[in-house]
Amino acid sequence: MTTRTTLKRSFYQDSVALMGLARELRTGAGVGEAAALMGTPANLALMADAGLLTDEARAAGPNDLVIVVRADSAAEAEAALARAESLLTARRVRVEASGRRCPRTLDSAVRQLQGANVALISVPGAFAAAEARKALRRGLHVMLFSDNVTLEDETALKRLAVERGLLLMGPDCGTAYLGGVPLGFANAVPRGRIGLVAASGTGLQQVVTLLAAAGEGVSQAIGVGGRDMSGPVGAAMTLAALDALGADPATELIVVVGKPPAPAVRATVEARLRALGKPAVVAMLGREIATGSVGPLTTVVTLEDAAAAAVARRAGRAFEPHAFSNVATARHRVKEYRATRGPGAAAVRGLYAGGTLAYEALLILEPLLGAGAVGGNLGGHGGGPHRVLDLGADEYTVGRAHPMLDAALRVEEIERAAKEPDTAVLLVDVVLGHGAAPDPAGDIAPALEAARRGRRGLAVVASVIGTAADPQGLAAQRARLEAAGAWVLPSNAQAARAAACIAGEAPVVEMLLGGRA
Amino acid sequence: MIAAKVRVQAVGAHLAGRFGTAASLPGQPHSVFEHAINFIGPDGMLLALHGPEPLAAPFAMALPTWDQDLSAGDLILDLEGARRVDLAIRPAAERDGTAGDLLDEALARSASAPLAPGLDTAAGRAARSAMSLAIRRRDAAGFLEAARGLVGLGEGLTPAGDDYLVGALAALHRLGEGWPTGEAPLRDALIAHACRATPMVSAAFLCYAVAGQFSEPLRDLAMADTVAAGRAAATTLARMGATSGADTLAGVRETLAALATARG
Repeated sequence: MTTRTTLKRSFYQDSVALMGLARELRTGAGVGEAAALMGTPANLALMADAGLLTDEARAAGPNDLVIVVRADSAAEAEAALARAESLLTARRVRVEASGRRCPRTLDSAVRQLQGANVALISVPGAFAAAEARKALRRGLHVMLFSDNVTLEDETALKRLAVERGLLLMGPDCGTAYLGGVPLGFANAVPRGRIGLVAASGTGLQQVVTLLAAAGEGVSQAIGVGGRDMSGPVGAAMTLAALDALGADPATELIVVVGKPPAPAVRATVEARLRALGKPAVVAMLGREIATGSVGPLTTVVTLEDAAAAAVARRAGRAFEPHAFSNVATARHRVKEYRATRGPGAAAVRGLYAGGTLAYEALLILEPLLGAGAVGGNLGGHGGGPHRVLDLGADEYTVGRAHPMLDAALRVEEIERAAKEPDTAVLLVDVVLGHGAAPDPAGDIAPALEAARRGRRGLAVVASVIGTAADPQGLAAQRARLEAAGAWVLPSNAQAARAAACIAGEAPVVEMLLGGRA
Repeated sequence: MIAAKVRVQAVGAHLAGRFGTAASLPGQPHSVFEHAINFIGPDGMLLALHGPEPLAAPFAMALPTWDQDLSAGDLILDLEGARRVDLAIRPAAERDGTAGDLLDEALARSASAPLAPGLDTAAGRAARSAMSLAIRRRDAAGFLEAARGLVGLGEGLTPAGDDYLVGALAALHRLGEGWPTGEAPLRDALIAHACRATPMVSAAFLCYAVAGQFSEPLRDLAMADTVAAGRAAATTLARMGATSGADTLAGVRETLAALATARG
């Protein structure tokens, strides 16, 4: 191991920038640890505790930025420091090659790009609502990536948007496709005839990637924010987005993704969908939702079913949900896993990066493993023995990047779960696309491999949310997980069912796969 | 180069006292951020310029808009019509804990935001515990020792430990607990340590805090006369910086808790 340091005298960056820089450096080849801190005595002591304090760092003063990298080799450490330099330079260089200045305010951005009609806002705290209001008043649709916007601000902003005939997508809107342009965390999917309205980022990603796999494409996908269908907000943006898709000649079928709305809101949304006259699929993930069709509306219970129902509808076929794409393979693998399961090992540990994917897994596991048997941090009915964790939830991301960007927390949880003697299955998701980590499967694969090596019979079940055109490559990411011993299923829903079959009682297997366990 | 004249919307009363109706600034800023620029003023002291109110620092001036490219060229600040804002936190008239209860309730009704990682390190937790203990015992020397553990700890230009300490000082000022900063040797030791051990911008916050001067949202929170006003100020404060506001609120909260324990 080698530790290398860069010292930048009187160099100032805010904490978000420095935390992001350190995180980015940790993803470098051979890099074991990295820190980017002002050189105060207290921070130098922290570095000493972490074994990162070098002679160069000791020379830092409180107004100096210290960047330290520990790597397997000197070359890898130097490469990481060179990367740090280029990242810092990229932030500071504000003049583009064309000579045009990068805008620092919304006003100057609008002046520079005449005709722009969407503002993507990702700023912290109070600035988010204020900037969104400013953009709406300028006549711009808004994708509000920021979170921590109060319900009062959200309601007021959406009221303003409706008054002005604009969309306010968010807050906490992570994914959208407008006019063929992916925004935020988005997979590379083809353009097509299906329009989507979603109150869930990773839920939307699962549906559009499965649509892409089936040869269908997206006309528009409009995020509305997780609270849009709550009583106070009253689906203000869902209704506006539906109207937009209803009027869009490129959209022939509409898919709505979210959690169950307030009853009155649900009735309003369904009435609006019927009034549009276009076929629609509604996937509201909730315990009381059942599959069915009434007129142009098909209601489904999983994200995979939403995609499958949309594809069937477009092809003029009846939609028939299925538990597994390949029942014979699933039966064979489940039988194998159950035969080698360790004594006393009968619990599922769902360790998720995607919040909606975790919630979907919980909804699938609960009826299969028993009411009250699935705990976690998603409002599950029970305290165990099974557990589903949304590792992107606030309580896990204090001072850390989201697990879709930084796998460190998930690696810790994998290691912890692998040590628990009752763990039978590790259930994980891997989300690809623009904005996600460069190699998310590679980030967790070593931990999964080590878990399997350390525990005979431990099953790893995974799904990869992505497309062949994603920067990370779907096939390569699947292969990386399979090389680590994971069983990779085509969807999160199938992965959750597979986990239930491995860990659950024999009747679960009979119900989902037929035959004997 | 012709100096640009910039109208100032608001300025802290204490800071305004250093200038007349106008001030000129050199072209080279000390540090530039998305929503603020720091300069070394003509008197060698730090001066921050940012967009519209509230004033984010006791050494800040708020401008009516944030469209100007202020990072280049000489500036003349026009203070003629600027609102003078009293940023002092003064002790509550009642010394029976009523002000603390009101603050406590306002904070209890505000959403808590994630803290910076620095405050949750072993060193950060130890310094916070030591600070609580010193406040419970009204132990000035212990307070200074705990403050030394916090100053400069954590990420960014105003390290989390400093933000926390500013919050603690705000609560102490409001509740009339003058003992940590009332004695010159201890106060001077704290200021001297801040100037040595944390970035200049953060040291400026601490020096003003020792003197009872704070940002406008923190002043609004501490001086609120209703729970609703306190809650509104806490919400504004929580949104400041990446985690600065949340770290400051943590300092206020934990200090109130320690004082409540001390009161029994």
